[in-house]
Amino acid sequence: MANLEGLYEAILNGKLEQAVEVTNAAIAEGIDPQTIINGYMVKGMEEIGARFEAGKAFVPNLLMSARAMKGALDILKPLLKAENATSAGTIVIGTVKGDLHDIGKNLVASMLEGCGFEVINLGVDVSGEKFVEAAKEHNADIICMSALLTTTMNYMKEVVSAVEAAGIRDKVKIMVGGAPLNNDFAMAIGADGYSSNANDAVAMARRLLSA
Amino acid sequence: MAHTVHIEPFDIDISAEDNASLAEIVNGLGIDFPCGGKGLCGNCHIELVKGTMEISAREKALLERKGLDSSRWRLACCGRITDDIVIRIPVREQVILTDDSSSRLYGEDGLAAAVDLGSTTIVVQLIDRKNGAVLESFSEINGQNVFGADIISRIAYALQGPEYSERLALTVREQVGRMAGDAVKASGRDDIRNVTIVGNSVMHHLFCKLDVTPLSAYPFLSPYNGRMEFTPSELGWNLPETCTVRFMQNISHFVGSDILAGILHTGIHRKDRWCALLDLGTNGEIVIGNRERILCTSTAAGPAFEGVNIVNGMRAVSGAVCRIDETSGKAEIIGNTRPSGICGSGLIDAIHYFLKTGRITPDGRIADDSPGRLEIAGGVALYDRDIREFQLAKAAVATGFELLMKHLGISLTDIDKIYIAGGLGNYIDISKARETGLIKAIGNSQIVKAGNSALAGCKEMTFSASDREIEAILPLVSHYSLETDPDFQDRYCENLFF
Ligand code: B12
Ligand code: FES
Repeated sequence: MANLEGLYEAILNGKLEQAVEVTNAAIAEGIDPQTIINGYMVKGMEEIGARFEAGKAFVPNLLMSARAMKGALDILKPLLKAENATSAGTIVIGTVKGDLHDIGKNLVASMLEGCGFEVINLGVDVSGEKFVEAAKEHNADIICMSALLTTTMNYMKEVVSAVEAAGIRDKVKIMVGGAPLNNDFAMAIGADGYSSNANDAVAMARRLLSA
Repeated sequence: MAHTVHIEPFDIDISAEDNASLAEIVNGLGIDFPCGGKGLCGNCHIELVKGTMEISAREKALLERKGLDSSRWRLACCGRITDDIVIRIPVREQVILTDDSSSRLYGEDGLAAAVDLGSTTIVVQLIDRKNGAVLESFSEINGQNVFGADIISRIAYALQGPEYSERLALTVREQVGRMAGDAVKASGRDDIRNVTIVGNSVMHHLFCKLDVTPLSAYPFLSPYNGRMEFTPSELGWNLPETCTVRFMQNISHFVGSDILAGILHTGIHRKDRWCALLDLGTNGEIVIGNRERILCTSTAAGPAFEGVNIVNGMRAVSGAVCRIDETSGKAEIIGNTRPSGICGSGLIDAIHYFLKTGRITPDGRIADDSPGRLEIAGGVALYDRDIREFQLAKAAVATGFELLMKHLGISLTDIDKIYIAGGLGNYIDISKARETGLIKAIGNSQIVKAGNSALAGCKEMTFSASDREIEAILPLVSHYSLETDPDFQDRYCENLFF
């Protein structure tokens, strides 16, 4: 029997190799991928999130957990049957044009993915046009933008305008983040939500979609 | 209705319109605005001695994070004048690292001025080219500092409009011109041949009035990184017209002539074995090279090592905890006064000490159930978010260094010497910097403190004999772009741990 508790532990402790090993063993035994994800992976990510919240884990721990989770998810994803996949919502995420910082953005993406969202990661240096295109194509519920430079964060406003111009603003929520931002800035550019870290980002995404 | 603002300790009165911004009133009085006056960093605090001034919840939170009582303190960049008030500006002394050694080169005629134009500090030295001796040495805080601490904040300021970039240009042009003029006057001579300036690429662009827009976002391709020459009258400087003013060329978009000067001075381009040069400032430039090839990059470590964004952080001046005894944990305070904060070298020591005593875990957590702070001395403490800041910065330096080595196909054992440049570099304890993972090295003997190598190299650049050497260095140098390295993220994650 594959030790699925071990997967939970591996994700919680950020052990990539262990996560991959257990996942492979579980698949070989024919365990349903969705059960692995919902039963163990999401739980592991939620637990590390809770520890982060309580000040018992920090960014390096989150990053390592996200990496372990990603390793397991990459194996499981192709096996998921589209029709019975359950998703908390679809999210398009990217770092805005002119900016190549992606560590924080990738962490947010992993946390969201680890907590059951379908995430399309557009990478870095993403233009308004690309955000809009991807949001339309994937029928996204939320667009997430990241910026780490005081000079590139202003581009977020242009993306918001592009989303409006494309006529999809009422269908998609906009969430922003990155070290130089704050809530006032997010509200001023017409975004729906801001959060200062990857853990709150999950809560914020859930809140935006239940509103 | 106008109000009166009385400013201590300068004892001046300024009349202000109702609702005028406090930042504009105190501008030029020595307050820094590290986040560019955006109300994000909490570093521009001033004391409100008398009168009332509104305060927002966010301002309150920022002040409290700095351990400041919000009934008495305000952020200059957020404040509006609505009452007659008395304020006090915290005065900070400065210790600026200069380099008083004679130039390696000598035997040319007349005087020359070498200028190290840093984002934070400016050093001007007048040298006698006959014997290479330093005649005069002046240092000041860069007057642009009030418009933002890091280079991106300066760029953001300049991009607000032509009058803004003009203001930044004039600020440094006037300041450097005045300092050079004073140095010449003090020497009592008038045979100055050149003023040679080195600085990072943003300083270069701002001083030379080149458009900084291309430096504000990817792909950071600047149209002009070359050497720029001026006549004193063009700059409005009071120096003989026979003197040329030169801003030396950048190596690449984010590696400036200060690093070129560092290479020249440490002689990396003449070494048979690999040598590295590490600048532990905000931009975190790293160079690894030998006489065949030199690779450089910048890792954007941030200003944590300068005490910025550290809750009790301060510069290395009187009152700063600068060292902590490894065994007793006793803090050493600059000037032997009551401790009022912690500077870069103290930060490294504190983290090292608490790691060794097990109070900080290898992932950077505070081990016991203390409320997120570790007492150092007399109310000065290390907070958990300070440890985070340090981790982010040291991981950036360590990762940049590793990736340069990887790209060159070499490992630490292939490196002969690692030169540490810059202010902090001079004061840190090398073993502790190694043990906290900031500097990768096999042993202490591999590490050499190089002092202000930009200034030392700049002095050499004032000699025409250095031109040939610079011509020899440039073709060897290439820039490595960390942002496109797919390994950055994984290595960075690993390097965040202790
Ligand atoms: C690592 C780093 C780099 C790496 C980036 C590698 C990569 N692949 O991402 C390298 C070395 C390549 C780099 C390059 C540059 N950098 Co840099 N970099 C940093 C550094 C050290 C850490 C950033 C980081 O990854 N943090 C860790 C992550 C986990 O945190 P985070 O990004 O803040 O994300 C969290 C939250 O913000 C939030 N979040 C983030 N995005 C989103 C999105 C949403 C929707 C939500 C809800 C939340 C959210 O959640 C995340 C997780 O909790 C910082 C300095 C520092 N000490 O912070 C400078 C820093 C960001 N860089 C800076 C600069 C100037 C640059 C350069 C322009 C110059 C240079 N090379 O010298 C280049 C530009 C590259 C480019 N085109 O973008 C400056 C920016 C200054 C300013 N005022 O804007 C900083 C602050 C350093 C400094 N003070 O000088 N950098
Ligand atoms: S908070 Fe005022 S300058 Fe940063």
